[in-house]
Amino acid sequence: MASIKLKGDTSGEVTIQAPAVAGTTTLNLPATSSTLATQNALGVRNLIINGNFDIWQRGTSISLSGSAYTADRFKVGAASGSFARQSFTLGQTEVPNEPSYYGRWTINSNSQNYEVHQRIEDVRTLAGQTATLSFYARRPSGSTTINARIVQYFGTGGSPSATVVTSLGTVALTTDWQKFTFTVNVPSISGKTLGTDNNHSLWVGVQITDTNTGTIDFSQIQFEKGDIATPFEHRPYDMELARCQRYYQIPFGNGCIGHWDSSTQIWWGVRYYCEMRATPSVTLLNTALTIRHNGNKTSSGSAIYFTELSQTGASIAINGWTGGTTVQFAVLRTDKSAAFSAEL
Amino acid sequence: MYKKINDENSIEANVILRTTDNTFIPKDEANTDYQEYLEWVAEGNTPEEAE
Repeated sequence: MASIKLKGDTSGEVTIQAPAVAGTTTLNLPATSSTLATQNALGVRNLIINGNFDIWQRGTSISLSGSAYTADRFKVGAASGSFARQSFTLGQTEVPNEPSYYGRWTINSNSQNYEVHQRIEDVRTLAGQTATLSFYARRPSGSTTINARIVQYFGTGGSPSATVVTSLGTVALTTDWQKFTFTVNVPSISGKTLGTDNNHSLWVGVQITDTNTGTIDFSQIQFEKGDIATPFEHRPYDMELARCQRYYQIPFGNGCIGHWDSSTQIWWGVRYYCEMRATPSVTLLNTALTIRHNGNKTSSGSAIYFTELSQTGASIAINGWTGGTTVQFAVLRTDKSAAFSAEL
Repeated sequence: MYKKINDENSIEANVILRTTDNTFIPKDEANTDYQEYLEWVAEGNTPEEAE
């Protein structure tokens, strides 16, 4: 077994060691100047889901009058305003690697403490370890200033410990895209108590520090272990969508099968795309559903009458139909018709 | 703002209806919508009775 040892001037050493088997092993270093990160996880480094703003299941422009979920996994606030998907110009070089979209936070009226943040499941996340937040941002209009921070939330139920807020620093935005990096020692949770409701989390984001208005753009948000901001981790669209669907998904749509429980009510079976974080809430998105049954098509205003929910699926009774025959089957023809949310 | 729901046997169901957006909320403490409902009740509010 051969090895090369690099020793520092006063302390510390690095050993590169070959395996004790025959053959040749080649370590290819990058051709351009860069950092070969070893303290970070090599896969799924970014603990932020949808940091590239590719997934917008709720719609690509969400009005705000308080705080609401907008782009998947991002909770955003403003007294009035919006958070909307914007497209990058092809070939632009200010934000590297050709991202498709960014998020635009429009703040029409404001009070302090509104924020853009993501709630990472489990307050144990990186507790007692060093972590780095990085993102691109700019301020096309207005003069709002923001502060990056993390919040350790111990949940509800029982006697959970009080929330711990750690400020990472103020962001000085300009009209040009800039990359911002903050390294933080995430406080230890030794001696803390979790709530019993299984809803504790680590919040990562930025908060308004004044009452000004304007627009702020965000791109490529990354939160990772270690004290180095590695290049933004691009994950395939399907992988990112699946990760979002643990918290929010719209599985009730075209192709769902139900049966007539009466001449005006159909019971539908819904299997989620994946197991959700908790038993989700359900909202009907479309009140003019179309079905095929008994060779006919029926369209009607409809409303949920009753539902039974679990983390993996649901049965939903919807009223408002006409012309049904009890026990016959019906097939839904309207896509994306009910949303299930198990957000933090 | 909230309304109790009965099942087909007229027994109070394991869901609450948020009437502002017709969202059905499970009585699961890990669900944040249910936590908001519990806070609303703790503030002295009362949901509508089921029909």
